[in-house]
Amino acid sequence: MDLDNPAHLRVVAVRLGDRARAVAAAASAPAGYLQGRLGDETSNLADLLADLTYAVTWQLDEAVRRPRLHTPELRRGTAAAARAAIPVALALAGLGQAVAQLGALHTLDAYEPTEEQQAAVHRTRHGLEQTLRDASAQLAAAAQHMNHDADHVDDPPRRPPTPSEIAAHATAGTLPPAVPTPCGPNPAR
Amino acid sequence: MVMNELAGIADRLPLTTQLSPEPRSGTGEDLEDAIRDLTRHFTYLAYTIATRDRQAHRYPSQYTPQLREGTAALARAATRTGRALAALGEAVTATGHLHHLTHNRPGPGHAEDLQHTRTVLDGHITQARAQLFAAARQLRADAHRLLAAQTPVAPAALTTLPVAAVSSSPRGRSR
Repeated sequence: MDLDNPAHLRVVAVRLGDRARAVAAAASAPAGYLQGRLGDETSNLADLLADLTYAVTWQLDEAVRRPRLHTPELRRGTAAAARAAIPVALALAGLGQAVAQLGALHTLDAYEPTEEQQAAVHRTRHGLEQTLRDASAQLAAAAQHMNHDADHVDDPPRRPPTPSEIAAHATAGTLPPAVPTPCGPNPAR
Repeated sequence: MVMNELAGIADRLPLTTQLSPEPRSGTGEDLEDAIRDLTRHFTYLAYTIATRDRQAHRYPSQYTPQLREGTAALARAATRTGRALAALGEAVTATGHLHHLTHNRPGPGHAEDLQHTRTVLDGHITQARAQLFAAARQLRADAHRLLAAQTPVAPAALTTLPVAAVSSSPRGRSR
């Protein structure tokens, strides 16, 4: 993808928006369909993250090989793609949590259907849906940011950020705390 | 197998001493390779859980407790793998920042800013490595536990045990 081309950045925004809607749809998928959709969405998001990473690292290499071609537009587009990697990766982490919750549901399935088991299934299912909704919200916000960045990628040159401003942006450790994997009642077997 | 693959990706992540501000040093390529490998394994985990869950509902009698516990172990590994990916995603952004700083005209505090961003990048990679090693350790522990639980059944028991009694233990129900 040409990171200095607003149209290409908008394509990324559309992909992000599509994934946000698909993950939200998976959250409300009927039982029996959720597993397949979770697998598909993991694959789609993984592809998107790999594409973004490739685009950014390739562009950074190009900047070293041909510094004259590294225009302010290209620099802004590269920064936009690099920024988008965070929400996509966080959404993938959310899907990882959802897979673990699906595994917990799978384990709960082997228990005797007591009241406690039913409550645990209900709680885990609710947690799984919430995890997917949160991941979808991350992706929707990323799509919005990407659209905004696409609108401004070919703005007239402005004051470049100072090194301190750049360093301030690079904040460490923004991973959300891990949601505890729900555990079921004592096994009946 | 999954355990070894995850630990292998963690081993291949760039070390602090390799984090040079110059993109040519290979940090970007290493990150890209790690993300590509990890997303492949992550997708494999997600599809495996999905497939096993469907199998459990379709063929409950063939679905042994060991298979169910193995599936649960893989599902648990997905959380840490996902978090490792999230840390690598943040590392991509930090690499971009580092590149930007490297190619900005040096001013006052430039060296400190550069050092700060390198520390941040190193933090994300360390976090990813820790998550992957933890996932591998947990899978190893689960594998040992599952192997220990597989005590061979006495031949006499095999001839006298009713088939229905074997298959009724883990219940196969649809949600």
